[in-house]
Amino acid sequence: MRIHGLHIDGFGRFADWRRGPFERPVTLFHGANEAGKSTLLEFIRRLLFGFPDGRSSSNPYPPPGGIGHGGRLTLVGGAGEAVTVQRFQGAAGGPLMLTGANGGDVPDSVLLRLLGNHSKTVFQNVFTFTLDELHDEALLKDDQVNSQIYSAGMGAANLPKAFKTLQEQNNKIFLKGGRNHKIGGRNRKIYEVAGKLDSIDAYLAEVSKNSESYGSLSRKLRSIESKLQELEDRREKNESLIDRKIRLENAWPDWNVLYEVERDLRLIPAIENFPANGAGRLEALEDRMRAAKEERDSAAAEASDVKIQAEARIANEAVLDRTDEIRKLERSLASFDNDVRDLPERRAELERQTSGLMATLRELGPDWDEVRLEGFDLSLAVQDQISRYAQSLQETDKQMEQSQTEHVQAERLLEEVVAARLKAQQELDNAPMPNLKQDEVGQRRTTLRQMQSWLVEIKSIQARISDLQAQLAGIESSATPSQGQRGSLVLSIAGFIVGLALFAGGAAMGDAELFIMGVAAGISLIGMAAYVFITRRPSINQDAEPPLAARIRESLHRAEANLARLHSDFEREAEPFRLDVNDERSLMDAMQDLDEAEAQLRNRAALAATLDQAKQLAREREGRERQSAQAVKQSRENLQAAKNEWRNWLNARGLQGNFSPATVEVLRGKVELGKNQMRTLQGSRQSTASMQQRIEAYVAAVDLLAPDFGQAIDHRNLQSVATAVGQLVELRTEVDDKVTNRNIAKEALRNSERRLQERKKLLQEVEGERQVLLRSGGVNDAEAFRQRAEQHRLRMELERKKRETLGRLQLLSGPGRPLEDMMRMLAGTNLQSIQDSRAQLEEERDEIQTNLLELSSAKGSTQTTLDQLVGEDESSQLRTERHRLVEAMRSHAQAWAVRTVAENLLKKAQAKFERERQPDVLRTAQDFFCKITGGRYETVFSPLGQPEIRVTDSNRNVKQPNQLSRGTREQLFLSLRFGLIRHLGRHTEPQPVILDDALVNFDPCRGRMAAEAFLDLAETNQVLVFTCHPQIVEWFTKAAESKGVEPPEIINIE
Amino acid sequence: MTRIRFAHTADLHLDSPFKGLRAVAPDSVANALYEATFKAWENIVDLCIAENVDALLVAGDIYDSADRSLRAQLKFVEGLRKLDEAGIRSFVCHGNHDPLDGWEAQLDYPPSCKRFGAEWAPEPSPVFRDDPSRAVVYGVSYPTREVTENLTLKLPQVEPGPFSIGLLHTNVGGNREHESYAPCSLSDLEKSHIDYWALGHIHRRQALKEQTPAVVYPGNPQGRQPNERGARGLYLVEAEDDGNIRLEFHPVDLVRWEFLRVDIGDFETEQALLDGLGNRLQDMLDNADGRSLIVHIQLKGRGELHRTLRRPNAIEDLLEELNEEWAASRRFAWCERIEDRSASPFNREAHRQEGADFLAEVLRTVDRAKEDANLLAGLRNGLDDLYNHHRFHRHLSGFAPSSDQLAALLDEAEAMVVDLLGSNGT
Repeated sequence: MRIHGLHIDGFGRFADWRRGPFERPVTLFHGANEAGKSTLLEFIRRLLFGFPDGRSSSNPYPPPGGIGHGGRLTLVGGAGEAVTVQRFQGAAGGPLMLTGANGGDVPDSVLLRLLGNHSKTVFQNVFTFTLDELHDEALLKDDQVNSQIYSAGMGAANLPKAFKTLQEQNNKIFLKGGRNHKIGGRNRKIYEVAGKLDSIDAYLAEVSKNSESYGSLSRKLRSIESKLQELEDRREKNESLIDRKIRLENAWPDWNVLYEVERDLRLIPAIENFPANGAGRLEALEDRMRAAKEERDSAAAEASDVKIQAEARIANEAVLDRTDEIRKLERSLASFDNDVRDLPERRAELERQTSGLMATLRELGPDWDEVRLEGFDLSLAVQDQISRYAQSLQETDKQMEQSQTEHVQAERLLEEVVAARLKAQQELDNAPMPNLKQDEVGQRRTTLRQMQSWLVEIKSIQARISDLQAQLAGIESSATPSQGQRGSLVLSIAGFIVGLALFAGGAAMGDAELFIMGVAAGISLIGMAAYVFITRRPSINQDAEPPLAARIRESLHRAEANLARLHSDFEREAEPFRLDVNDERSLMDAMQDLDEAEAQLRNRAALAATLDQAKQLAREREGRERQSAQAVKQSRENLQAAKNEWRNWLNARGLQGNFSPATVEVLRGKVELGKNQMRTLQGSRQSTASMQQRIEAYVAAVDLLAPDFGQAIDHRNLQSVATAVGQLVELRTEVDDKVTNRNIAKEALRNSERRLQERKKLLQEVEGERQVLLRSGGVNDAEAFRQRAEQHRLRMELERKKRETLGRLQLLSGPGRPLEDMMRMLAGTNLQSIQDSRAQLEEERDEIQTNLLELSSAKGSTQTTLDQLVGEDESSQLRTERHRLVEAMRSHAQAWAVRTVAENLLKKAQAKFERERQPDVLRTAQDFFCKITGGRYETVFSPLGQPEIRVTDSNRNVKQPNQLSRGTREQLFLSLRFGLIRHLGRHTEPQPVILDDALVNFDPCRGRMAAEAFLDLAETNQVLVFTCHPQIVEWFTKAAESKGVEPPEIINIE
Repeated sequence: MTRIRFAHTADLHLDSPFKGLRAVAPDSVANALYEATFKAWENIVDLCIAENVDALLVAGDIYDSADRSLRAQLKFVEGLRKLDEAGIRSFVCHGNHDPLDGWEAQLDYPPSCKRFGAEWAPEPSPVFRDDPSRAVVYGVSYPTREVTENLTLKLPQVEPGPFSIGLLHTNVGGNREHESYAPCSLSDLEKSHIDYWALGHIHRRQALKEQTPAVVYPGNPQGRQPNERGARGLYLVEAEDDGNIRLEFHPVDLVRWEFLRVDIGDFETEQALLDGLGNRLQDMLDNADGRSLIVHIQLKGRGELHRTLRRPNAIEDLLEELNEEWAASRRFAWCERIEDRSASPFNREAHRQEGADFLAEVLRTVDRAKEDANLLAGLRNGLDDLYNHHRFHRHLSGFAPSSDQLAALLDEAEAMVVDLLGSNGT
């Protein structure tokens, strides 16, 4: 887009000021200070982007008095289209008007497009700028601008923080620069580790010295141990001597005892082979002899007593030979007693049973005896036959009874229905007969209803006709429109009132017809009144009949025609009934007559139906009566057949033919009773006979035995038989007991004789032992033996004492030492000498002990030191800790190295990235800056991840903008704008570049270079330069000359 | 028929501390670690007695002279005495950590123990005193720590007949993981007419040659640093009359080192990670022959969990929680460190190739640095300030990142930078 011309109506000092067209790439506006250059720049900005709010204080460009505050700009787009932008001070930036080359309106969007859709800020910061704005860093703070400059989106937003993090983490381990220890380095991890290592090394060095003393200590220990051994040997020897003295001392009393015992022994001669404990043994033997004698005498007495019993005689001993017979009688005695006792009762019972049987036979009949009784069949089959005959007779009898009952009931029902039929016939005959048939009644009712309807319609039409006639009369009576209007109004009001009254009256009356008529007439009149009221206003054609009158008349004619037709129809249908159209009462009477005839017809029809039903029922009951009579006959025949069959059954068994099954059942019971009685009787007869036989046999058996043992029996008194048997049993038991006792006595006798012999033998043995003992004591006399035994005991006592004394002396002589040595010592010394020697030895022992303690202490001390050296494991732990610390140091070093390498890596990548991947804007800016500064500065770049600009001079020194001189800094920012203008121009409409004395701080050389740069830029973007400096005009002019391009247009502002 | 049956061990390093631990061990764990080398030695002695071997050969580095641990020497002699009482001979040579001129307490070695001097003896020591022709041992100790000559060249003529064992502390073939003391080549050993070379110095168990002559490193009986992982023990060697040699390894260690690498991408929450680590530790314990474990955990991979782990003290808290559960029992799995090498979840390659932002430039710079030595050198700029600092030099000397290590550091640095650029920088 280019600015082709401008026309200021009023803005600042300018009024109706116009310039243009600006055809050349560069246009210089030259004028003195306050000539209005900045005003022109601001005019262009405001025209394109709007005026500030009128209330704003930032409106330093009021127009000269009275004229419009604003003007026009003529713009030409890239495609050559011209648009005039007109704007004056006003609300919302002032009203904007865009017109095309043909004077037509152009939409606002065209201006936006021509402005490359850039915001006001971008336009002001990049394309139109003053000297002050040139080095204002607002340019770099605009998001839209700096996003094109810095490395946004390059993934390096965290780079500065990454550097910081790496350095912070590394600094905790080790701080570069070699002065760590002076600036808090001790707190660095690696220094902490180094310090601990130094401590451990110092300790280990100390411990190693201790280890070196192990050899000398070992030798010292061995020397002490040798001396200790020597002393131990001496002490042992000394202890041994003391022990010997103590033993001698302790042995001295025993030594004296031994002396005395040996002296006594010499006084008591020894008895060779004297039995040990001879006196005791002799006493024991004599005790045993006394006891043996007593036992021998006791056995002899016992044998004498027993012998008498063993040889005793027993009477009736022969009864034992009849033991079997007696025991048999004994076993049967109870049975015999029972039989004897029961026999009379049995006989009486037999007689009773015979009488009972006879009575039963007599009940059965004179021709009944035991034989017939026995032959009568009481089997289940016969019982079953009787049951079946009884059931058959019962069923046929029951059937007979039931059929007779049913027949009686059927006859009664038949009588009832015959009476009902007669009654129905009489009622029908007495009912009145109507003069009309049913169909005639229906036809007449239809006709009368039609006539009723017509009558209502006739009344309605008559009312309508009256109404219409009244309306027509009203219309025809109206002479003028006003009158007509008034008349129709009156008519409509009257009609409405009348209609309303009819409607209310009809509604209030209960009669249906009146209601219908009243309502219909009321509605008609209300409708009419409404019609008349509505239609009264339109203009009326004064020359013709009113259309309403014509329409009413036509309605009237139609109503009258309908009325005539209805009258005709009514009269035609009323003829048979002789009704008058004006007599509604006759129509009502005709309807009532018709209702009565219809009621009579319904009554007769109901009576006829009742009669038909009675007839039908009588026929049905007659059939049933006949069937029941037939059933009675059949039942009677069945009953007779059953009775005949039963009678035949009775005859076949010799029973009376008039027996009923129940009677036969009773008879059968009697027979069964008789049979039982007969069987019982037969059993009794047999048992009584058997009992009699047993008694007789028992008496015979007793008869064979009792006399042999003096027992007599009386055959008439059977009790004597039992008594005899009891005595025989008792005798046998008594004899048996005596024989048994005699046998026991014989055995006791044999035992007593054997025991007597044993006692005698024992006595002899004890006597023998006594003699042997006496002989072993060298005597035959017991008293002499006892004297020798006492002498022997005393000697034995002395010898035991001597042995015990010697035993104690042996113990005191010490293990492994001969007793004789000590005996010799004791014999050669005395107690005082022993005690003196012992005291001397104990003194020597104490001295040795003292030396031993000293050496043991020295040994313990040395050993402890050696044990400490041997058991010292702290150095092991410290060596492990030392290795761990060294490892920790290396670990820290590695962590530090990784971060250092990471930092270096980031720096390398950053350098390359910054070198190769700077944004287009900076690269273009760099070209311009390099050109403007004549190569003094080589690069313009943005450090990665930082919203800053750096430049590098030809000496590779990197500088920030605030480190540059003002002129150079302005050149840098001018170059940045060049870069932005070029970059933005590639994507959007190129914009004119307008600068207001922006080059005043440039030296001539750089000014010319800048002018050349602007000329380069002018190839794509229109350049408008406002300046008060002729030198700047000259720079541009000469630059154009040197470049051989079109010279700038110079416009003087005065 | 068996001619000789002996045990071969080396590099006991009694009472030498565990190296490479970063965390402070709880008392129960610390006590186990202090006792570990001694316990391993006790296990060796007990095993020799239980197996009734003819002899025990110890190929140097029994203890670290520099530590001057009296306890170490006493325990060693105590074990030898137990062997002596059981009728088992012992043959000992000294290596670079316990040279003959090193500090030594005046201790009485049992009569059945043969300690070799600084020179090969003209005559070998018989294993069986009553049958010298059955087996003999040639041995030599380091007179001083720095022995750089090939000691095998001075080995006297080995007479044929007896089964001959050479006891030597040496670096065969110049193993770069260990200092090159008394270096020799495998062929030097092969042409010596020794039947079995019982070597020490290399801590990783290996039989360079199993037959005629067998050349064997038993490794150290107790791992003491993170790279000494797995079972540690000794060899029981059985030589037949026909010259056939059988090696049988027996673990005697108390504590084992393990390395656990876990991909955080498999877990969504901290708890899930904790559970996953717990399961892995349990598996490790199940497969550790009843030993306790020292575990170095490395978290790797990419995942959302990385952001959680990056929170201050998150790793320390995780370590504490694990150790509260796993380091408290008698059989512990103590985690001495959790190394967080995890990274944020993003497609690095796609971003590097297609990204236009600064992060893509960082990724490209990393890749370039790995191929451009100058660029890589530039990235290590400033590291010497710390590594060459006089205050720390004696501890950090030799630990400044090499080029290879710098590449690994660079990956860590990249992960850190990705986090810092992606987050709010904390």
